[in-house]
Amino acid sequence: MDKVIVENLKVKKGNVAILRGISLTIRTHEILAVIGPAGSGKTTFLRCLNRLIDLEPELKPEGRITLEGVKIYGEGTDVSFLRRRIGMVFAVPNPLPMSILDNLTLGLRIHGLGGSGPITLERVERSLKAAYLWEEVKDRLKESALKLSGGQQQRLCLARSIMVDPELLLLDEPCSGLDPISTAKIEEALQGLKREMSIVLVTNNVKQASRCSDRTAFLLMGDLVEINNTDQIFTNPQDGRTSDYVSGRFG
Amino acid sequence: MSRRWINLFTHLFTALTGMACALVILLVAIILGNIAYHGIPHLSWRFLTTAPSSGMTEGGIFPAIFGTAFLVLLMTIAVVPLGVCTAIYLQEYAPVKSKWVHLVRMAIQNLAGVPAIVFGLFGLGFFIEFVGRRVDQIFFSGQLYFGQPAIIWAALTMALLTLPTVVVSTEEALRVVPRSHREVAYALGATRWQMVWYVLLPQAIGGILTGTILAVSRGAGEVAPILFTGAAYYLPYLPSRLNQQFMELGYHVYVMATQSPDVDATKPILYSTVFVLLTLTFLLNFAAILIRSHIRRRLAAAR
Repeated sequence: MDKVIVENLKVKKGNVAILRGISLTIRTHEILAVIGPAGSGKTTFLRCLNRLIDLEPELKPEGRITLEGVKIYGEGTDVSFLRRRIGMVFAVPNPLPMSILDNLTLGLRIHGLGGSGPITLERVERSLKAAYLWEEVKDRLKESALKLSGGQQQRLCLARSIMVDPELLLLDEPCSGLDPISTAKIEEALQGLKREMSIVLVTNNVKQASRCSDRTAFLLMGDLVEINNTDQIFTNPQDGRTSDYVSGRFG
Repeated sequence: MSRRWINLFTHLFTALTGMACALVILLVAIILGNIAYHGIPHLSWRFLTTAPSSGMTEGGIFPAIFGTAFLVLLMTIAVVPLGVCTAIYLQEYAPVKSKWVHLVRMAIQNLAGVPAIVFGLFGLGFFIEFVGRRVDQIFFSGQLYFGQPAIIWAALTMALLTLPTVVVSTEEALRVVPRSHREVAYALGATRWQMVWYVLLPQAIGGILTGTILAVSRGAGEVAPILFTGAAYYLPYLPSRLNQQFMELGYHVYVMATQSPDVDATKPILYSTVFVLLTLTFLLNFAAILIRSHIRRRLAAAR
């Protein structure tokens, strides 16, 4: 089952092409890893999927992206609802300067789904458990989110993004600044979450892609070099550049 | 240059800056000391709670205290929403680098440089002669209700004077909220307004209050903007409606200093009034600072 179909996605900044025609699909209940050296357009690709790219008027995406058959750049797309269906976790943990609870309920409040009450608390508990953070914060939900460690903060951001039950979760190098234990917890969380949603994991860490993704896409200088099942990419890459990159010969 | 000379300059410069600082403190101390010395003896509960009598040579200053507080309150109600909304528009909604925004910012900065008396004349010409008269024509069939100096016009004129302060400090507070915080809200599906409401305003509240503090203490001290727009020489009653005139401490000081029939009899009252005006300004400032630090502490607890 295809969740998202990307066809010939191009993004330009002035005369410089950032993405040069990407076509791929994201399936339901899979973790798709996107790897590639810095500057290959991974983050831009991710930000096209939830239209966060709209915040940068100098970047104009072309091509076609559909979510369950509906164009996300179509006329009259409800961007707010789209972003409720597509969650995002950023590279740098970015909890807001408010309590852990308020961070978690922000999405609910934005979408008018209430911000308190037993149902909300149930959701909070479920999200925190899914993000492997519940045990560490269950007694201090009213405390500031900024008191958490970096790894805890990132898991809080993960929990925050799944509070509104997205169908697709975008992660932009979520473990780039984290220690191995925090990284392992997030990877474990993703394995659980993929039962409920599709996940796109952009990562600088080739090993992480091989550890926890079902399929892997390799981007290089704005081109999609190869996309295949992860074990194929790592054991039997079809393109010479892919094998060079995954074996650590460049990048 | 030899090391000895450099050391000499260092000491000389330290001494110079220190003396400049001492001079400022000395001047402030002399002014405050003088006012307190002459002003405190005449202070009494009666002085604070009664109206002037016998051509300002006796009685108290209650109407002026009341009028000042009323004026500042109305001004705050007008200037804070207007200033905060302007800042939000300039910082978040207006297209970046547009000529229009540049022009508005320049206009606001220039507004801060306009002499206060010009605001007074503008208030007379615009609010009273234009707006007030039109209101009277439309709603009161030409009878004189709002087309005359009144506390509402004085407060609005004062609000214009203090508008740049609120706009600039709010803009500053919005600017320091990191881009990543904005993106969190957008990525969760927030509209721009929701982003402002849930993310920016809670973080900018300290800056907004700082602007309000500055606006309030400026508003309590200025006389020129209310000279033609609502301040009264003497009133036998307290203003209870927005279209009535009012007495004000700063203006009362001016009146007693220049228009008194008996300068010597007025002098102790004058000193005490100045003392009260200063105290009131300090208290307003102090209250605002307390509110701000309370909110800062609450924010810090959430941080």
